[in-house]
Amino acid sequence: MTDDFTPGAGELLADDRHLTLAELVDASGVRVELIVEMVSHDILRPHGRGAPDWRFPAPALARVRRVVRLRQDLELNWPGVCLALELLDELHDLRRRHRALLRRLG
Amino acid sequence: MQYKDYYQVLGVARDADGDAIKRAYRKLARKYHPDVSEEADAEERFKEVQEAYEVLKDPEKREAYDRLGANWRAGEDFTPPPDWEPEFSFHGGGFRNAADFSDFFASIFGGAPGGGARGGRGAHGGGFQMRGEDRQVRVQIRLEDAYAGATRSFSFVSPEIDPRGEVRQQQRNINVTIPKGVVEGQRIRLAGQGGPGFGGGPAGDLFLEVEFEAHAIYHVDGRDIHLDLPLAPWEAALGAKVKVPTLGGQVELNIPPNTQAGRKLRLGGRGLPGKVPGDQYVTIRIVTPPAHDDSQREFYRRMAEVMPYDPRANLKA
Repeated sequence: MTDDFTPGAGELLADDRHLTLAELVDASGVRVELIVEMVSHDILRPHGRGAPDWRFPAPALARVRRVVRLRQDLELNWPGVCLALELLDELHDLRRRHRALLRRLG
Repeated sequence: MQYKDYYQVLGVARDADGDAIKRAYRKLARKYHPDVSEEADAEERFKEVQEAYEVLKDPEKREAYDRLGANWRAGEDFTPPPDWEPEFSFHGGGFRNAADFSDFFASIFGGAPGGGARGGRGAHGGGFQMRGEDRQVRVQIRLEDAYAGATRSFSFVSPEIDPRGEVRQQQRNINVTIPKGVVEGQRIRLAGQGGPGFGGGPAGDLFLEVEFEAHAIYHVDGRDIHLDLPLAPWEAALGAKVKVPTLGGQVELNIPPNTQAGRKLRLGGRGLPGKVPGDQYVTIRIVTPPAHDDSQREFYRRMAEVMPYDPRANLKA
């Protein structure tokens, strides 16, 4: 059995699209306090001076969800989450480059 | 429904203490966490591990599970004892991902309306809702589609809970609009297309991570496109105007006289589109025409006489 999604349902999480704090809370389903905490730990880097002006690049949404999973599933504290994110970003980037190189080698 | 051996899942003895169970869980969670592992069945394995830990870390649930006896084998057909009454309530805290726990779990500990753990004997506590989990899928697209935008269909395998409450790998097809200018590593979010919600909660999202298929002539770095351009020696020496392919069609490139192999020429703004569009970089390769007959070999000999040249001058000590 397969199911089909209609075309056009996707939304690109690109750096040049931005979300307000309220939009990020709404889309991620996490409490506003948690988002504020992520900003204070430099996990999220919104543009704008204070919370009312914050504009988050769209990829922040996937990052918020990842932070929630890491905290719950691996019982990580904030420094642990920050370290895991940095290492995962690096791992991800290296895996991507590695796959691209393998594809080029054919 | 199949019996689940939670001790076997965590790889601990039946008399393991709380610390040993926690250690085993943490080790397996790191190994199979969907954010870390690339193994195809990581998500499913991780859920099994979570379910086992949910039971074994909680003395009351563990005691109830142990009451079923030690003679069951994993995968054996299981029905709860006739007088079995789940005595556990669902509360928001600490019961994460219950939506994805097995029917076996629901039959022992109760569940909420729906399928699988959601299909058990009804949530006590009432009104408990949880958002379904997000799913991540990597998709490969053609470079041309990233340049111009396109609608493409992708197939992937996703764990789904069947009417019997068993997790099955189900093929799903999705049609997705590829936005113009998407680059590798970016994600496309399909809201509500992830795992189902719990107790009437909303479904999670599906995130497609974009990768490019290998291309016959280009390779990509961010928004920049790289191309190797072969030139004949006389084109490189005398200069030439040559037609160069770009994603947006052919353009004419001026090759300056005395261009050496390895030189890079930039075609500004001819990379992937974006707020700041990428460039196309053309790396010169000089291809030597093979000498097939005497007159051609003579021509090369004449060249050596007329223009003596040591290409290895800088290798000399």
